[in-house]
Amino acid sequence: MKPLILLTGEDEFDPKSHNPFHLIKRSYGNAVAAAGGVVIMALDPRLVQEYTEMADALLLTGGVDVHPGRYNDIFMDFDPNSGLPTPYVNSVTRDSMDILLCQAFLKAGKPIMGIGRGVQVINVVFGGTLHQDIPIVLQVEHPKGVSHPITTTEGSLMQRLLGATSTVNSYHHQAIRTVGKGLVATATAPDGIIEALEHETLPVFGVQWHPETFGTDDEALRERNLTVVEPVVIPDPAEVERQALATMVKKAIPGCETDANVVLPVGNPIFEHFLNLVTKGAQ
Amino acid sequence: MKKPIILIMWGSCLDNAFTSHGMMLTKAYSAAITAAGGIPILPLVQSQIDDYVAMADGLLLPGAMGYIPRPELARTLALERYSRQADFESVLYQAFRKTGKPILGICAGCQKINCEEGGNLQLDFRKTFGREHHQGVTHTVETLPGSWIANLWGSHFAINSYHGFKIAKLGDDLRITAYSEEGIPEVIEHDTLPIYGTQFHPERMRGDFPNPPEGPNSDPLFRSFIEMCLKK
Repeated sequence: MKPLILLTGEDEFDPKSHNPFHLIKRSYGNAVAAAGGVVIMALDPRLVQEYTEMADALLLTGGVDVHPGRYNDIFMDFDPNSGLPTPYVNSVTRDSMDILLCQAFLKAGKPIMGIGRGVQVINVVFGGTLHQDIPIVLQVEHPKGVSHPITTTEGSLMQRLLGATSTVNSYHHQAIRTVGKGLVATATAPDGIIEALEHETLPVFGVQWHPETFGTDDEALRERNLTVVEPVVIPDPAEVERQALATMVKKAIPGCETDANVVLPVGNPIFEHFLNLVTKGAQ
Repeated sequence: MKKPIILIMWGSCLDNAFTSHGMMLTKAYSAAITAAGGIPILPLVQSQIDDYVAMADGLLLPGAMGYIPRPELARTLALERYSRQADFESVLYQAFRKTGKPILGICAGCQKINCEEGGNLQLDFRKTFGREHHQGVTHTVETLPGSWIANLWGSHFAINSYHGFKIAKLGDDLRITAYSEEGIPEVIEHDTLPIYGTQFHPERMRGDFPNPPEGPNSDPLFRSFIEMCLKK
């Protein structure tokens, strides 16, 4: 029986249609599935108990900032350097979903992994705090997609999985400030930013970078999404779309992908370790 | 009491940085399922559909969703919707249908059921038909006596409309159990299987801001679906 892994997603709002909605990147589900877990996404914070009973482990995915009120800090309304309003985005409802699920899975003794925002949520749940904006507070940047080296701590899980040094990507403007009770920082960037947390005794860990984008088609998709301005090589897309709509057949558009034959990326030690926590109880 | 697990199909979207593909679900669908006593979950990987079908008690196919603040990416998303999403939804529907567990389709989900059962659609019927069924406009419908929808809400009631296509050829063993006053199919029911589709949006007909305000409260509709899922 494959372990069932619960993922959390973004909490968004579409101002045009006035619809609040949930959103999740495909790469998270694909990465966990490749390591052997069945993946589902949680949809309602009022069902935390049911989700916790149902699933074997929790993956807290990346996303917007945790509200500083959750770690006894004051929201930084203005950039102290420029005096301009800060552009930070947070979601108090997503905070509730993530934190309630994290607490419930801890209570049930089930494994928890955090990515990006997820490691920050884990830290906050254990009483740690965050830097609200590292460019302002620390004058360092870990902007979108930039890779940098990390150094792992002797004897840590991170060192076992990745070696003494490794290279990771960066997609964050917040970082761990003080480490929560029972957690240990086990990977750091050259500028001192904490990149990974592990719990001393519980099957709980998180990383500040995004291992789910390793070995996936995200990079290619980004290229295709953002740089292709001319119509793609599909003949008369409007007509093709109409045909596809009329019949809604499988593989409606010639040359377009389906998920049926997708080869999932394998050999990602981070996700394999996460699944081992469920299947083998390894630490 | 055991709560049934309800799979809800997703819609294609791009993540909030517009850099990679994602799945989305308007909260109104999951909230309606929760309120009716179900546990909504989102399936994420097509190769795991058999696992999803085994664990779930019911399937909800929602209407079309899109979050496209950048118009230049609309075509990227449209291609995604009619390729990977359409394929995922077909495989999920057919796998679920085999188990005999209940399926509810809403709007595009209702049209999907009709197409999967061998029917087809008329596109852009507003232009040839000359009636507006788009952007939430209100209509009244008339139901077939004795049907599921008639037993829930009676012979006449008001609904919302958010669709540009309509059912043309009806799928095998399906029955149209509600028509709008101009003759547009609004509810379909399967003759032998617990498969139901509504062309209108019942998930918007509940809570403090229902559309239409004069329409029936849709909580009993979702409770009826959840009760069927418990029985199976």
